[in-house]
Order: sequence, then C-alpha cells, then structure tokens
Amino acid sequence: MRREATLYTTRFRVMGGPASVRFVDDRGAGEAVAIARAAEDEARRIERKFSRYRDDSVVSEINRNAGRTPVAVDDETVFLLEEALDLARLTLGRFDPSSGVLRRAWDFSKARVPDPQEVEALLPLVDYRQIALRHATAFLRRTGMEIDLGGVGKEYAVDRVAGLLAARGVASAVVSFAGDVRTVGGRGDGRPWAVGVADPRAPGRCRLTVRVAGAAGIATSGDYERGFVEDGVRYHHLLDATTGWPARGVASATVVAATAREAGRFATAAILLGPEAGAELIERTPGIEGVALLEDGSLCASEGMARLSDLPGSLYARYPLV
Amino acid sequence: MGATKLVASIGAFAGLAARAAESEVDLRLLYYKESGGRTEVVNPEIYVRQGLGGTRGELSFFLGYDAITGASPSGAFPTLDATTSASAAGADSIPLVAYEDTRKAGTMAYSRRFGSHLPSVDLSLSQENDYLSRGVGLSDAWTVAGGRGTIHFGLGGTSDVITPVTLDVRETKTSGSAALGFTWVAGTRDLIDLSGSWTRLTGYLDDPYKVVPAGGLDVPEHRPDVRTRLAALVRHGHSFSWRGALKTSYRFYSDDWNVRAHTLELDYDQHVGRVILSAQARAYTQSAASFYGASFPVPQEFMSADYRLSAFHSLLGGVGVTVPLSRILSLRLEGTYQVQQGLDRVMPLSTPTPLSPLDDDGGGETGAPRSVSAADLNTLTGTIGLSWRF
Repeated sequence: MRREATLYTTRFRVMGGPASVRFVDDRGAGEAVAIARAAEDEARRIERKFSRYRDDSVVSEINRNAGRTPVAVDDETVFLLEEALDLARLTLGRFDPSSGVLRRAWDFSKARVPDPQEVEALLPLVDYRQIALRHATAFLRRTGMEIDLGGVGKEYAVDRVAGLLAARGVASAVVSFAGDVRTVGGRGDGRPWAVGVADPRAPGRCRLTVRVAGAAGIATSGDYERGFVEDGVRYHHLLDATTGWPARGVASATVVAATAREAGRFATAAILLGPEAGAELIERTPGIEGVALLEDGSLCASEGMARLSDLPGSLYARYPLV
Repeated sequence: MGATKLVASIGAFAGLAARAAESEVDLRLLYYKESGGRTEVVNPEIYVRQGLGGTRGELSFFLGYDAITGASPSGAFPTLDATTSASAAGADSIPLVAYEDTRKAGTMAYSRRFGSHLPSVDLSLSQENDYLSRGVGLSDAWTVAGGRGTIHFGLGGTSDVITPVTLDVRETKTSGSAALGFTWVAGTRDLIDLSGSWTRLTGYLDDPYKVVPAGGLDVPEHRPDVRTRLAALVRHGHSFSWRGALKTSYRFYSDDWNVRAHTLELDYDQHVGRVILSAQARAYTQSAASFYGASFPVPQEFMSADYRLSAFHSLLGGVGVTVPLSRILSLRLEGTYQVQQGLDRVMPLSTPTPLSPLDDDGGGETGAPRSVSAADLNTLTGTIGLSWRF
C-alpha cells in the first residue's frame, strides 16, 4: 500500500564524523527503518574493511607486510587503491596514500610546528610509486611504509550508500558523511537540492549555497578541520606529500561532480595544487565545477559554478541566500 | 499627585496612558543576537501617533522590519538539504540549520474618546517568506471612579496563511482572543493593574521545519490543531519621593498543551536631573508541553522536539538610559542580556568512536559526552530609540 511520502532522516557516526541520510519514501515507517539500517550497515562495513586502526582490516594487513610480501586483495580493495593512486598522479604526488607516516612529525592536537629535519626524515617512506598493485595483490615495497585510504574511503562510502538507496527504490535522497554529500534523484518538489558551503573562517556558517537539480556529488576539502595558527601562519592537516608541509593558498575547495568520489578527488587536488593550478585543472575537466575560498578571503569559482550556486550570475539567485 | 501625573511617572499600563502631546514619533532600532551562532535580528521600527484635533480622535501607525539571519535548531527554515565542509565537528552539539528571512509588519489603529470611554480599533499585517498574518482588534478603556479606575477590555482575531518553503502545501491558522483588566490608582503613589486574557488558536499549529527523532528516524513533528491559552497578570507600580519608580509584575500562563509558565519582572526608573536611568530584571520558567520529547521510542500521534515547547528557565538583566536632547526630542539607549537553560537535557546523539577508522587522523575524541539542550541559549539585545513628542 502506498502511503503519504515522508521525509526520513537517520544520523549516526561513522569514519570519525557525523553522518546523515535523508530520504523520501512512501512505503511506511517499517520499510523506512529497514532502508536506514541497510544504509548504516553498508557504511560500517566499508569502515571496518578499510580501517587502518583495526588489526583485521585489509589495510592493516597490507601495512604489516610492507617490504615483505604482497597481500591478496579483492576487487573492491583494488578499486579503492586505484582511486588513491589516480589521485596521487593527478596531484603530481602532493596527495599520497602513504603520507600517513607524516603524522609522526605533525601532531595537530599539540599545536607544535615540527623540526624540518624530523619531517625530512619521514619523506623516503612517502612515495605512492612504491605501492605495487599486481594480479589481485597489493604490496608496499619499502619496509616501514604505511597506507591509509582516508583520502578516498569516505567519498566511496557516500556513493555506495547512495547506490544502495537507489537500488532499494528510493527516488529522492541526500547522503552526507562529515561534509561529503551525494544526492539521489531530484528533490521531488521541483526545486534543486540546496547544499551549503561552509565558510572556512567562520565555523557553522555557510559562505554560499550550491544548487543541483538531480543526482550529484559535492565534496569540500579545507584547511580548517585540524590545524593551528602559530606566528600568524596556519598549519593544517592537508600536507603536501612532496614536501611534508601544509599546502598553501587555498583555505577551502568545494567541487560538484557526478559522484562524491569525483568531487572529493578534485576538491583535494584543488587544495594541494594551489589556487592557480587547481583552478586550471577544474576549469579544463568536463563535468566538474568548483569554488575555492582562498587564504586571503577571496573567492574563485569555475565558469559553470555560477549556474549552480547563488554566486552573482546564478540561475538560482532568486532563491534565498543562505 | 494627580492620576495622570502618577501614570506618567510610573509608566503607562494598558489603556491608561498619559498623553499630553498631540503628536508622537518613535524611531527604534533593535539588535538581537543569540549565542552559538544562532539567530541574529536587526529590527528597525517606526511608530507615529497623530491627534486629529478636537474630538476627532487619533490615529497611530506602526511599521517594523526584521532582517533575520542565523541558524535554528533541528531544521527550522531548512533552506539547506546538507552542508559540505571539511569539518567533522558538530555531532555532539545541537544540529543547526542556517536560514535567512525577513519580516515586515504593520499596524494601524484609531481611537476616539466618547465621554468616559476610549474605544479603539486596530488592523495589523505581518509577512515573512512563508507566513502571512492578518489581524483585527477592538478594545475599550472605560474610565470610572472619577479617573481613579479604568476597566479595559478587548477582542481580537487573526487569520494566518503558512506556505512552508519545503512543502507544496498551503495551511491556515486562525486565532480569537479576549482580554479584560482593571487598573486602579491607589492613593497618591501606587498603581495596580489586574488583567487576564484568553486565546484560542485553531488550524495548522505544527512547525513545518521541525523534526522529531522517533524509532531511530527523524520524522516531521505533529501538534494538536487546537490550543487554548490563558494568562493572568498582576502589576503594581510605586512612585518614590526621590523621583524613582518601581514596577513589579507577575504573569501566570497556562494552556491546554500543558505548558505552564511564570514570569516575575522588576523595572526601576530613576530620574537624575532630566535623565532617566533604568534597570530591569526578569525571571521566567516554563514546563514542557505534554507531547514534547527530545526523542520518542516509537512515533506518536502528537510529538514535537521543539525546544520552545520544552521545560526551561531564564534570567534577564538590563539597563537603559533616556536622555532629553531638546524639549521635544529624547534619546533612549537600552541593553539586555538573558541566560536561558533547558531542563530537558539529552546526551549527544552517539558516543564518538574511540578510534575513527577512515578519518584522516583518527579523530581521537576523548572524555565523557556532556549533556546538551537545544534550549540552552544566551541572548543579547541592544536598542537605540529616538522619540519626538510635540
């Protein structure tokens, strides 16, 4: 029996942050609860499988065998590792799935700028070209190397949950894991989805709103998540893996793409490549639109971004600004 | 001291006003700010009163404009479906949704004295993005006992249309109200007022932007479509020989949603030369509506998690100064600060994961989660006003 269409929201914590799944369904509360559970279960499955903190995860097994032996991996793991390596190539190595070892020098909770030698000493262990993916195995060639899939795993989980909702007959939904967003279908009321873009210098506030009519991925990368300011310089967790030091110039980059994975890739690239190269990359890639909020407070948007946002010139400017 | 002069020194109570001047223009700019990045309002207002000469009565107009920005708990005004950010923060605090709105409000009133009666009629209109309210009111202030007493009573009604920005519906709401009161000038220094009001609201009383956690899901809230409110008010004003005046009031409120509230307020004015210094204190407490809950194990017919229907108490303190700039013009500056605390406290949604697997640096949140309430709120207001009386 079809009942009244109702907007359901479920919230949980996953991958170190808040997650919310909002969907419209007209099959009653029982079905809605089942869908919500399935969405959360899928997110948790991905978290468990790729966590570098769990001894039984595939990532931990690859790390334990660094410099020793290749580890057999399944298609999903190969897919995610390929994603991470693609992003490393796209950013000329500034993003690197093996850069986690830099945390030994950078402890953002202690707000301490590390000694340059300390950072330098870790760089030999940061090299994505030493990650070998062959014949359904993964191998880190240097002893002491570690990978983590944090840079791509969350967006992958968002896309997987969105796919699960669509497969279960949900026509209208928005999935958000700690700021990475994927919409499913249209909003159902003729209006576009409205996604606020956080202001990197005013937590809790939005700087602009992105509007998308149908299914899309929206992701943001920013220097404000973890970091500290010392002597007027902001030191943040988005480290350029080629130098071991924080990337400079862009405070936050938001990208709209077909999937959350694509959006996340280009948002990360836009930060790590810096204002000019990042903007150029987004402008020349079809199907990708982006907006960057620079360290000096100015805003830089791709040509098509105005169509998708409440920036001047937007189609949607008639909707209230947020 | 004559009754009119006493009223002027203590300040007017409803219906009993000391109006020596023929014309009055008040300009006021109010700034309102809630803590925690919630609502911020800038509100300019103008009030004009003009005597029409002789016995032709007087007209008054009020126009107000509110520019509202900020964020509201649990999905109020959800112009956003999601927020994209690099930050994982926020799960252990009250979920807020950013919004922006404007409200335009206007009232026009006419009153004219007929012997011992001062009847008046007023029309009002208020408009927001998603809300239109039209109102009409009739009242009378009937002077008795040679000017020492005033019986004031009135009837009012509103008709509202709600068009939520998130839903394709048009809902209506109506209200009817009646009020009765009595003001008495006791001796040469005291003024006492007793009044009561009854209001009945019918129609769409839900907040279309609020959701309720029920059975692990957030579902739209739903409230009964009738609400009957009763309020009783006792006020006392005393004028001191040292040119000071103290106003004390107590208000009791009760409705059939089971909300009970008590308000105690003290206002003190002191004339220092031609300047008036004022101080204000207010204590408020209310109980929760019968269908309020921070969450529900299973959906109920009526349920709301709106903090305005929860139990909370607040304390407000304020100071003000009125400075005459000329014989007809005066300047008023005022500031208040209110601390509000919710009594329905909840633990954060879920305990942070000790090790957060796919997070870039593992989260690492430690310590016990503290209880929170959406009603926890501090509010600051500042007002600047100019008054002409001529």
